[in-house]
Amino acid sequence: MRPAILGIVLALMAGLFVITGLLARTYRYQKRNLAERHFETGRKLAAEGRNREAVEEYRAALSFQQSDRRFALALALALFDLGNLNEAAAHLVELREADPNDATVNLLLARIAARQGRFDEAVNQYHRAIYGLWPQQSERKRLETRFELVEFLASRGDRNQVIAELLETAADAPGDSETKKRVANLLLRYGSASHAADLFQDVLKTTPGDAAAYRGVADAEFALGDYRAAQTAYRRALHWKRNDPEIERKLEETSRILALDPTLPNLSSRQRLRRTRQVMEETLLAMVQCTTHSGKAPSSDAVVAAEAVNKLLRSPAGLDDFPSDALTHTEQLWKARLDMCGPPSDAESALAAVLAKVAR
Amino acid sequence: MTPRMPLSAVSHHDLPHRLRMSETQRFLLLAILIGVYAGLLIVCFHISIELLNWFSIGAISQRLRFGRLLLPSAGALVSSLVVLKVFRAAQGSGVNQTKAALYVSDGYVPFSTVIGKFLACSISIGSGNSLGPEDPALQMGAGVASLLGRLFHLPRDNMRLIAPVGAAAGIAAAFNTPITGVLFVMEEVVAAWNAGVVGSVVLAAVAAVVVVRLFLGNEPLFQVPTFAVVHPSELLVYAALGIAGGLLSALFVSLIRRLRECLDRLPPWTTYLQPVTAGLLVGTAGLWLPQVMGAGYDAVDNALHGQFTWNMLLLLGIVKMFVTLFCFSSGTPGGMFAPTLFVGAMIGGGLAGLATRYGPFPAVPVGAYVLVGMGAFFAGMFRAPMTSIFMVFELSASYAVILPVMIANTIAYFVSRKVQPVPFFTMLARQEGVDLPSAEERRSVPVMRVEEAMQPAPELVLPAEITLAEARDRMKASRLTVCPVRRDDGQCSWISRDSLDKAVESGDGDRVLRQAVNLEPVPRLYPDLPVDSALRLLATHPLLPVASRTNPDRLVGVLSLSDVHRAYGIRDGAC
Repeated sequence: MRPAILGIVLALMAGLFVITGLLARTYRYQKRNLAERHFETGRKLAAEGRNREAVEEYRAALSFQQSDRRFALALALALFDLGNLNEAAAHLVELREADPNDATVNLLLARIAARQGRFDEAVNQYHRAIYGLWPQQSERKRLETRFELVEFLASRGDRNQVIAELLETAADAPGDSETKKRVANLLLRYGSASHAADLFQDVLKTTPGDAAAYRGVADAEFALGDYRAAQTAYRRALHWKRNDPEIERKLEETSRILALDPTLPNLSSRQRLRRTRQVMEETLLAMVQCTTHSGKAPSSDAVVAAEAVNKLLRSPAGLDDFPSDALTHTEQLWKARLDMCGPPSDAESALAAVLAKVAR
Repeated sequence: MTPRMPLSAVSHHDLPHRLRMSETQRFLLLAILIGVYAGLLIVCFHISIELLNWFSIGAISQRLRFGRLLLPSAGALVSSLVVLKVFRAAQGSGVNQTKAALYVSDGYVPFSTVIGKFLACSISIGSGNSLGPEDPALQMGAGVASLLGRLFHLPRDNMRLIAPVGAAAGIAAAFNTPITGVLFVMEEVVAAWNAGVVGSVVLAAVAAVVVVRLFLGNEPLFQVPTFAVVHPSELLVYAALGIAGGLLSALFVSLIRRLRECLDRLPPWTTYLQPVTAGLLVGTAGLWLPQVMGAGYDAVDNALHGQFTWNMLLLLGIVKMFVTLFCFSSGTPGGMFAPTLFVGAMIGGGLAGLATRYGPFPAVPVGAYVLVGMGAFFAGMFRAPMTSIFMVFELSASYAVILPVMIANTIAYFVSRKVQPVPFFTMLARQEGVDLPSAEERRSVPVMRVEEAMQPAPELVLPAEITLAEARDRMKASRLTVCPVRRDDGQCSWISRDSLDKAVESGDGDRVLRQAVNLEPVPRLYPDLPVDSALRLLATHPLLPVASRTNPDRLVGVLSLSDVHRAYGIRDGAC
């Protein structure tokens, strides 16, 4: 190679490098500008609820700047809102590949999997979102995602997993009373009253005057059938939150239950017999009212149970001779009443609670 | 240990000699220069097309309702004027012109081609005509390489090879995929795996891609979503896709051939009218389906992400095929790679949607089929199966795609070959009155091997330590006229009976063979070698030994010119 020619070629190359560099800079600037313009328009459209048009703008933005995660995420979100789940998932999977810890992306993927009925994948994605990285307000968002997962699990009827998830949530928020109360209420809703009661008690240790926590303890004890404890807790709740109609109503109901319950300890035989008779009479009355209002004929089992209860009530048996299976017949009668006329009325709630306790 | 020579001991006169590069080293260095230049040029080319596109299709058509309708026509007219009036050498897709440089014009590609291609294709593609920038990039790379080769006064042999080196750099830079660039050039342009050119082609392609990534970033041509084969039955859909890709690509090639023939018969005054009309067609289609305008990579990207329904995908594929047919056949400057990928992608996605909707196949994301469709149509269209497989692999960066792509592309290749025997670029070359060698034709020509022509090893192989008289007696007994001689070092030589007779008659009969005769070693052949490679040796040696590959000292046969004649069916003396 002749050095002179090589020198000229290299010099020309350097010149071309500079020109190309300038051109590429202008190009990148224009590209960035156009992308941002489309992105901003898309955001405005999305804010106005015009997702279809927003998607087009986001697509245009993305075509100019493929590597910008904001554009791809906004597009995926808009597509998700439009119900175009497959395309949204395609974009999100790419984003996840680039950053597997992006919690927002994983949350959206979880929602898509949930909507498409892919249960295991959805749970997996929710967990990735929970343990992933959030750009801001990470604790709050992580918590919200947990609650969303709980709702999803509950909608699938997976009670055990719901409770496990809720307990984990509570464990992750040791000093957060509000979260604990929320978790405890959900535990109560999904049938884990004992865990709920423990959590509410936990809250009361740090905030002794919390009416909502007392109310929670009361509800949990009520659900567990410990009406005395429930009554005490309702009274305390009412002490801290006077004239709360709901607490008053629950307290009254609890008091009625305690006045009716023949299974309470420390009752004399006379009291127990009187209460048993009252339960039997009220159940018989409820059945009569049910048949009168519904106009339906009772089933043969219900008739047999009613006759048995009626016969027992009319028998001149002494206090000690009252048959032990009296409440069994009453329970059968109540079950028939529930089958015929549905859930109990407010007036029957105490009776229902007592019979539920008896059944337990 | 060899003592190191102190620097002061090196004579000033020796230094330039020591620094002087060998021819191969010079060629490799030049390949890097070519790659860098081609990369820079393709970056500028890419930016020009994009900027023109934004300011024409993007800006003007937003303000003027019919801008989109008229812009491709205007672009086609201006670009046609550029190539027909100013840069006439810049006509054509670019691939055949590069092949012609290799086979016809000793690597000469006028630099005006580069300027003409750059200007004309930027205008035509940037204004929305349905063509792609890759084939022009290939030719521009070849043009730059040719210019540099001329500047450095390369010898004739190297000049011939310089155009493919530049072509590889050009196409690698255009696709941002070095392997594809190398493979396409080796498979289609050079049409042979020439060891001398592979190294420089690879260096040039890599250098070009490095430059492109330096300026335009590492973003691949498409953002390919990840996928996996969900169920083995999917492979049946991929196979069907291969059949469809093969049939449609053959149809496409056939339509281009017929339309070009029709347009060639039109009077000369329609030369400018044809691209304008094609541009108008693109503009009309673009009013409803803007995705078909230009190279269409954005639309392919959207298809990969499942943006379109299956019927929309099929519609886009068919319309793109139609408008590309007119754009390319009318002579609008631009290449066929991008439209081919577009059509394949859309047809692939559309057929997959159809199969999963109406067939017993699991519903899977359409992106995989879009990708495989691209490869299958490309394989059928350009008959470059290896390039098509590696291109998809390189574009997707996914190993999961390999199996479906191999199935679909191979089927598409064979189907297309069966239906349309003449490959696309060969067809174009023949229409232009040139008959360039095609890789496919080369692959189809059967090769005769040495084992098919050789004679079994003779029973007599003379040892070198016997006397000339004894050697003559042995040869007489065996009735051989030429006999192999085993040298002391195990190599073979040969001796004729005439020369032995003469030597014995002159009184040298008692002398030992090795001392009396100059036993030059004869090159050894192997049974699997092509007979062609032996012919040159047979010009100087009447008898060539054929040795075993597993034991090179064992003679398995001999080959003479008359054996070759016999194998080819030529009677002795017929020549």
